[in-house]
Amino acid sequence: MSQAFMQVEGLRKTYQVRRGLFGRPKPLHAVADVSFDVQPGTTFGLVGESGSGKSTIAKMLMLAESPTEGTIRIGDHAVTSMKKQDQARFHRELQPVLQDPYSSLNPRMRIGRIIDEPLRIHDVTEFGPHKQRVAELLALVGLPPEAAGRYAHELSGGQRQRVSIARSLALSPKCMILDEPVSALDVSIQAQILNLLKDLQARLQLTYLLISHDLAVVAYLSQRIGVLYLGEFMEIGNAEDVMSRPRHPYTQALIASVGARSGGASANLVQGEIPSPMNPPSGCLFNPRCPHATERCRQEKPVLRDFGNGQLAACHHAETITFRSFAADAAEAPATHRPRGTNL
Amino acid sequence: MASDIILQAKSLTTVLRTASGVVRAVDNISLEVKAGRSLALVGESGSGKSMTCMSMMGLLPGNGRLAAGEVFFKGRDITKISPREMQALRGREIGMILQDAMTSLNPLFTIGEQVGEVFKFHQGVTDKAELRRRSVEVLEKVKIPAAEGRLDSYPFQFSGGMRQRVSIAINIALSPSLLICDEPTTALDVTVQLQILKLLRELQKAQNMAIVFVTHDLHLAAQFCDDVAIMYAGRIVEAGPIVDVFARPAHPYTRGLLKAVPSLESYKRPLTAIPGHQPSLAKLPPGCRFEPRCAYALDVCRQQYPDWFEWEPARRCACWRTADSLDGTLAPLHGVDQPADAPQRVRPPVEIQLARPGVGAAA
Amino acid sequence: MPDTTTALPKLTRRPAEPSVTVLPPRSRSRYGARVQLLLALAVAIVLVMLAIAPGLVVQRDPTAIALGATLQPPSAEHWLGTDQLGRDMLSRVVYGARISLFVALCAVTLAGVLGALIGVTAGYLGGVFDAIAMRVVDIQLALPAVILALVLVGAVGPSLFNLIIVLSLANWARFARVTRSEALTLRTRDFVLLSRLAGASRIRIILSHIAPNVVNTFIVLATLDVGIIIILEATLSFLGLGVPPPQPSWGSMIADGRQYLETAWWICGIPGLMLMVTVLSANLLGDALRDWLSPTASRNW
Repeated sequence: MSQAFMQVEGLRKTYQVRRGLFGRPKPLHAVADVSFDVQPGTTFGLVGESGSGKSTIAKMLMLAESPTEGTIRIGDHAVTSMKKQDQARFHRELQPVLQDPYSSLNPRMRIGRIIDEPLRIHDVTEFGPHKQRVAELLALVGLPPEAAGRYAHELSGGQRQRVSIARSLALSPKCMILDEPVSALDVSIQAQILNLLKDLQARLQLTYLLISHDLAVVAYLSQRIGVLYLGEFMEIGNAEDVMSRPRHPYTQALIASVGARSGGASANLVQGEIPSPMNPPSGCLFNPRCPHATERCRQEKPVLRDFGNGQLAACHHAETITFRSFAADAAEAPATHRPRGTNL
Repeated sequence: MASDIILQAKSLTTVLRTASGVVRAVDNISLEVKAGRSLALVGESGSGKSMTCMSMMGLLPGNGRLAAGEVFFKGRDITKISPREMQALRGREIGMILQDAMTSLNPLFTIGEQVGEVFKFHQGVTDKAELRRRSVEVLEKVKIPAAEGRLDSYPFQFSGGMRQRVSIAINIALSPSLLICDEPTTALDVTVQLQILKLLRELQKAQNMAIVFVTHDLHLAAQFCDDVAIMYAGRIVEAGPIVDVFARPAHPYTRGLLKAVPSLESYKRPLTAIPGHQPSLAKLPPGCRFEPRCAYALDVCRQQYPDWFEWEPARRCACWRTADSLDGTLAPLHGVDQPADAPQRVRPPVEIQLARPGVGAAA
Repeated sequence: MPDTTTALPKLTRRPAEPSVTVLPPRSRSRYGARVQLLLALAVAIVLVMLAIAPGLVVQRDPTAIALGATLQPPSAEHWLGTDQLGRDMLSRVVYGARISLFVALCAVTLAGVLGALIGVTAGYLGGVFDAIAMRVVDIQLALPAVILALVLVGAVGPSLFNLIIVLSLANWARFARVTRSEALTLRTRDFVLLSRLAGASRIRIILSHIAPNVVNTFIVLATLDVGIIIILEATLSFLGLGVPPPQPSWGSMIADGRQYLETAWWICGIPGLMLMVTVLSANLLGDALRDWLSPTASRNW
């Protein structure tokens, strides 16, 4: 088993939130005990809805925030135990691409200077003169060389995102954190950027950590997928396994919610809304909304169990739940069941 | 039956005065929606889909005006009526649900007050107890649990999905004949989206409403709506029953969209991006507006705006190469086109069943 | 499965509806704004030229006293009349313009640079520095300029230099406040975060990311400030705390002319009018600049 490029162990981020002026601070567990590995040259996709903690994980991996607990290893180095100064070196290994193409570029700087800023900061000459490197990077992301003299407001959303990608690649990092890279783009442009990212990964042997709320996007690019809910993993596995044989009811709900819209068969409809992370449910985090929940789920929090082939799910009843895939026609008996109680 | 056409637009045109000049945000839009059916207006940002709805409702921004065309609501031309009459219509017969429920609800008033307002203004109900009773009734219709107790809560105390339900409640309270939904689920979490759509569908059935559903999400439209009109740069480029349009798309833009959107069913299928980007509305070409991005474009496409090509059932497409597209002889003239995967055949909307483990046949 | 029937259905064809022709906007509102801007610009240019080369317009010494020709109304010889000491009003007004503009420019620049530096750094760094800086700003805003001038002038005596210092000290807080709030907004933008994650030092971020985006606001504020400073200077000169005599200043001319309002209104009136026109044009210029720069700025985002 080759050494994983990125290893995350027991990552945790807790905020102390004070309610009101005199209230005692209450802990908010944005991320609770998250562990995963990413093999070099592959994409690990983190999928989750609001409150899942995926953005917080992204920030911690980008080293924009420090975890409350847990370790992150990138390459051979334990990043979390490094001093701030040494961490600065890791910005050369790992670069982010953020969601908003309009906020990611300084409106008063020319594109060429935006892209070569990392080179100027680190005074890097190993890629040749900066001008040449900028031209190379622009070609890599599919932009014409004239773009270097333009300003951000002259480019479209998709083009700006390409510039962001070019800047992230300036120092030739080994890994990119992609935080909702296409969510803010038009539908017809999303495919352009996704294909670009796929292409770059193959060409430059990049490792990606992809974060998105859109399961289809994650499934398109990732080899392994992790499903987050309220700061914890509900399921992790290879993309094929998670998409065709999901074990956790939440994953099933995500697939069915969207798959049903594309004409997929009946799904276990999830009731209610995502509870506030300040007031997580007892036992299994998903139990108030789960159509299969039992008393045990309310009392006892399930741990991630191995279902073979590297697929892990945190559910007491994963073996007994059958998920109807899209291909099967729905002919089961009509539901007699009750909404579990929504969280308001 | 012509009598159950609830909404009909004929060559609707809206112009906007912007910093870059006067643009035709909505250009000759003609559509119709019958009672009990839903029409999806699909397009990307800047295609004019939201502006079309605003134009039909008489809610244009200050820098816009209706330049041409008519809009008929139940046979009556609503572009010619006074703002007062329009306002009365909007509350009583037409509902509008917008994307961000937080801004559709007034943060300073309780839910009960806002729902009750509908009955107060349009039906003249003043008795407090009666208002509360009717409010609870309509909140229960949108499946808000423990509605009686929630009447005195404020919008900020509700989650996004709940607020959207309240917004829906306010709009369907008087059983309108037409409901306009502008991306009502885009801001919601995926697991909540389906609940809201299911609710809308049930309400539509119960009240036999016509629905106009604006969205950029093709799969969502396919699941929820009966008919579709695809918009690009202010014009409709293709329209018809949604199952047919997505099964056998004629316009290159529709084909491009279907191939560019990742789907959950075949998630590893390579996506074919549509090259380029939308033209600026201030600098539109004289010919087909999609031509710069089209792999199948001919010279005529650049020179002359395409005619309408229409065929049964109720299909129309604005493309010179419609015939080639339909009989399978459409071949790319430039650029690389991936081998055409069959466009996803979309099944009609299915009823979502709740199931318990063990019940029913295993997959 | 794809539909295997690729037989062509019967197509009917009809021409597309023609798009309505759009005429370019009559831009009536923009026309008005354009005229305003041009007028303000014209006045500003004239004033600046007067300030730079007053000798081109007037030949007389503004400080030349001629007790034989006091309180003369405007005439062919003295276009704007003479004041109570027989000095030519035209020359005094023109040289007064020079003084006023010079003082205003220096004061605005000094206040602006100082205020912006403090504001931007406070906004970006936050924390203790921000807290302290903002308290100092609050103090400055609470102190009236006149009191400050009184104290300073009382301490070191009246002079042009002291005047400029006083005007700057009375004014920098406004710049600090505004630039700080700009910096606060900018701090949260993604490009600042990305720069930090690329390893940029705080100084680099402030200089290459925050400052250039604050410049637009700064320019508008500075232009609008010119009017305020001119009025302030006139006030101080009126009270005798500003430009020391015999140098002409519109403020001191107004003060001198107070007693002669009924008999020789021009001693008071003409400088007053000049003051009004100058400040008005400075304000209009500032507004026009803001309208011009803002649409670009919002397009930038």
